Amino acid sequence: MVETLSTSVQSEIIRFLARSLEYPQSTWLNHHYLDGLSSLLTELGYQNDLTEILALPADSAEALENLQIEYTRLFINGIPATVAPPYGSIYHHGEGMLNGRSTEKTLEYYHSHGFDLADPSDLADYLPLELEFLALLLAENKEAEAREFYQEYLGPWFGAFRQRVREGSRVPFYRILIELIDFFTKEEDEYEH
Amino acid sequence: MNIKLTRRKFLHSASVAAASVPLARLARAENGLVKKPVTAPGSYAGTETRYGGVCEMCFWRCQLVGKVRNGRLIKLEGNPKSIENGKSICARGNAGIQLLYDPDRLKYPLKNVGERGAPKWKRISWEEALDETASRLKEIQKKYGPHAVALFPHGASAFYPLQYFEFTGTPNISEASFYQCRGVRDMAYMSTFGFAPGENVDMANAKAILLVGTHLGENVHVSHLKQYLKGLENGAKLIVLDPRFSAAASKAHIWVAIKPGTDTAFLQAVMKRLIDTGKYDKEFVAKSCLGFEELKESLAEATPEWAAKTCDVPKEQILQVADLLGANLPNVSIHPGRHTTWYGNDFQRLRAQACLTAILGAYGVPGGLIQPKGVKLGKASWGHGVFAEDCDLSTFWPFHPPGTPTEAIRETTLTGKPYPIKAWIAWGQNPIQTLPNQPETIAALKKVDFVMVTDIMPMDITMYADILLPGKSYLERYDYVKTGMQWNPADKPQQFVTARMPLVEPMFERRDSVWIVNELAKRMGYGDKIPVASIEEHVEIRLEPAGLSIAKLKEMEGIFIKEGTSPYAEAGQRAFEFSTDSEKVELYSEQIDDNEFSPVPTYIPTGEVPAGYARLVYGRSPVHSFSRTQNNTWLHHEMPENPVWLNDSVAAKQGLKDGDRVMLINQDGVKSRNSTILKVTPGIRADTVYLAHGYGAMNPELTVGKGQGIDDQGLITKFGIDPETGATGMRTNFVKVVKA
Ligand code: SF4
Repeated sequence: MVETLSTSVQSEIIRFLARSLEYPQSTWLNHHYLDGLSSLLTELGYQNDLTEILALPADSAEALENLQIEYTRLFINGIPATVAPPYGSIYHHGEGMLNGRSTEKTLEYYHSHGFDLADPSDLADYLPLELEFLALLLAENKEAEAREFYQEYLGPWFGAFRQRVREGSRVPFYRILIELIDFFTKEEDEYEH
Repeated sequence: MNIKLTRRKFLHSASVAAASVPLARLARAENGLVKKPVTAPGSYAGTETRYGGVCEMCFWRCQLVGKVRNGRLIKLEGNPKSIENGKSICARGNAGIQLLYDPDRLKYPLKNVGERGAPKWKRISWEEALDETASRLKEIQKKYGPHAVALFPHGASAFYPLQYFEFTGTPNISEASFYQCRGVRDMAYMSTFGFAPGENVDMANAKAILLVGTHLGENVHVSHLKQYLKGLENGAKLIVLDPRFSAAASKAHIWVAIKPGTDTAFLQAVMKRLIDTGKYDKEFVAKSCLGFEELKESLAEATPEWAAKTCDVPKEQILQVADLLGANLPNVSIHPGRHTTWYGNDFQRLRAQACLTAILGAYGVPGGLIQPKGVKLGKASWGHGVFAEDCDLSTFWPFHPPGTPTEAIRETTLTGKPYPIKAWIAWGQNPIQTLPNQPETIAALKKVDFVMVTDIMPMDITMYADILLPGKSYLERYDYVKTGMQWNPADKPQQFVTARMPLVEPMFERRDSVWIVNELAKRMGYGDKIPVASIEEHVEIRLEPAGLSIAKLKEMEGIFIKEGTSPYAEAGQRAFEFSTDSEKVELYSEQIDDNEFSPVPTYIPTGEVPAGYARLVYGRSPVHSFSRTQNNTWLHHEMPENPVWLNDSVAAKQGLKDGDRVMLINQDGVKSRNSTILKVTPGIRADTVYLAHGYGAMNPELTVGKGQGIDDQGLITKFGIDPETGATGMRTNFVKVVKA
């Protein structure tokens, strides 16, 4: 019972983090969202001052815009180069392109677990989608599959991605999110039980 | 951030379980993934062949099929049904996949919240991008007139924006494919034969082929190369005029290592020799040409001695070339060329090529200049624009190709005379690399009130956009309807129709140009004038007169083929009607005379090479389409830099060795931004330096192509403007090669 509860909590948190990696918009990046993030960080014992990360985007158009500019630079089209496109095939086996062989394999993995892309033009290895998939598996209490998916799909590229965001992000918001994603997705010895 | 807990412990704490409930509500309501029946692992999706692709890695538009698996394009091939390229496509055609999935590609509308040239991008919604673009353009049109908006379009996707902006009343539209490429050729042949020649010479069935600077083999267009190689295979004699031992020169029977800029003199001497020896097509000249006597008279001084000296080639070679052409008339291909804006005196050279074609009678015969016939297609357009009086800057150049000479637009933008130009729009064109004198282009871009760019990839020009819109690539959209005939004119006559159809779904928020223009039009007050609701509708209208539709074409595996007509005239026919004023081939043109230009082809010298320098000559690479493909990893891998060709004796004198890293400095002291590798060879004249165009991008967003090789355009600070056509002559600069 306790185990079931904890996987479902983990699933909810991962879904929450998946949304956090989408383009910042006032529709979701509001006080409710920031309160949620704040309580999560507090529960985790985050020591630093939260105001810098949390207060601004919900209240100030300028702060939201700055976050959007940073998001564009990090993940869409940046100067001098996009820091960390959030797509697996950029990192996997040096493919360096979108919709690579590993993207297709990811899609096949979804198919073999009874899922498909809602929008067929989406890329299966878009980080928020991989997180959503992981959350779905956990919600169904499929821990072994979740472990397999992490080991074979998300894990192999997430490290390189995380490294780039860590080094390249000019705002703490994304650095912290990446650490949260890492914390809630990475393999822990609990899988060994 | 350092989390001390383990996740396990954390998740087990009850307070978190309670706290996570609101988190669930904060996650996205819509799902990116949906349930579907399980596909057993190991059961792989089949590969589907999709028809209807038309390549646009270059302008040749070979017909493609796409191999698609799981929605992902995994391979492109020539459409086996094609009667042009057939199953073959070139390296660039294959590498279209890399363009499609290039992570550097533009994905969403972007707004520049930094400066032009040093942009800071912010993703914005299409709504915002369109509202802002439309209101800025409307404001400029209202304050300064519609002609204050200038457009630089390129490619099949730009036909609709071109029509639209012209319709709104601006003549200030300039296509690089005309003004920095083939416009001067088209206009010279129009004045002579009454039609634009394309590259429609029947090399496959020629007995002799003359290439004036054209470097087939490095210049790759599949069906064109098939024709060329067929001709050579059939024993055609090849003559190549080129200061460099090009791929074509290496196959030539006669390689004329001509001094750059003197081709017209050479052609004049050849014509004189043909006329003097009576080796011209007397019947064709008598029945179909006008002004032979004037032409003959004009050639009085064009002796082999004069030409030999002018062109710095042996006199014997001139005679040899003339005699070879004369011996094979009328079955000779005088190739009209493609990129022909060289010195700013090019109209006259191309007139000479057209006249040489005519006196050899090389029209409508195997081997000659032909006019392929395609199937009649429908039209849907915005209709003609009405220009304000005196706002058309192009009238100064009576033989200008469609649109306005680019230099006139740039100068007017910079000076504000005769009127202000306040908005620049680039649609698939990269004026930074197509126009000489980059600092002026950049100054103009910085001066205007508004810059909008639509493109597929980041380009040097996109760095100057205020609003940057992401287009669909040729693999994701409908647009171009192509018609033509079988690649070998001697084969059974056939005609075909094909339409570009998407092989895969577009990703992100990329849109086609009909959609973008219509959305702008609605916002600019032209909503009621929109001619087609979508690009699909446009394609349907084009196809309709041929009894075709998109659905039918799909059933036909992308290509409709029917019986055609031979492009050859009946054997023995020597009298033709042309669409010139006189209905004849005008060797002498009254119309040109009336406009106070030389009515017979005339050699106008270009500036001499200063001591210590060599002329900068540029060309194509077989694996690139200029700057458009510079970021393509696969193609980049084939030719990452553009080697500088330098004559071996010059290199020895300067102590330079093959493989050295070098830079170029031009006559005005401008140094290349980057270095490249040196190729030392006897296969280039001592007064000439050569490199492939389209390298050395400035935009750091091109993570593969940035700073790779030398951008020749950065060194072209001096240029000529062709007085008849307004086209930009760009082989007018001189460089020194120095160690990097
Ligand atoms: S020649 Fe090559 S790049 Fe050009 S259209 Fe054909 S396949 Fe494409």
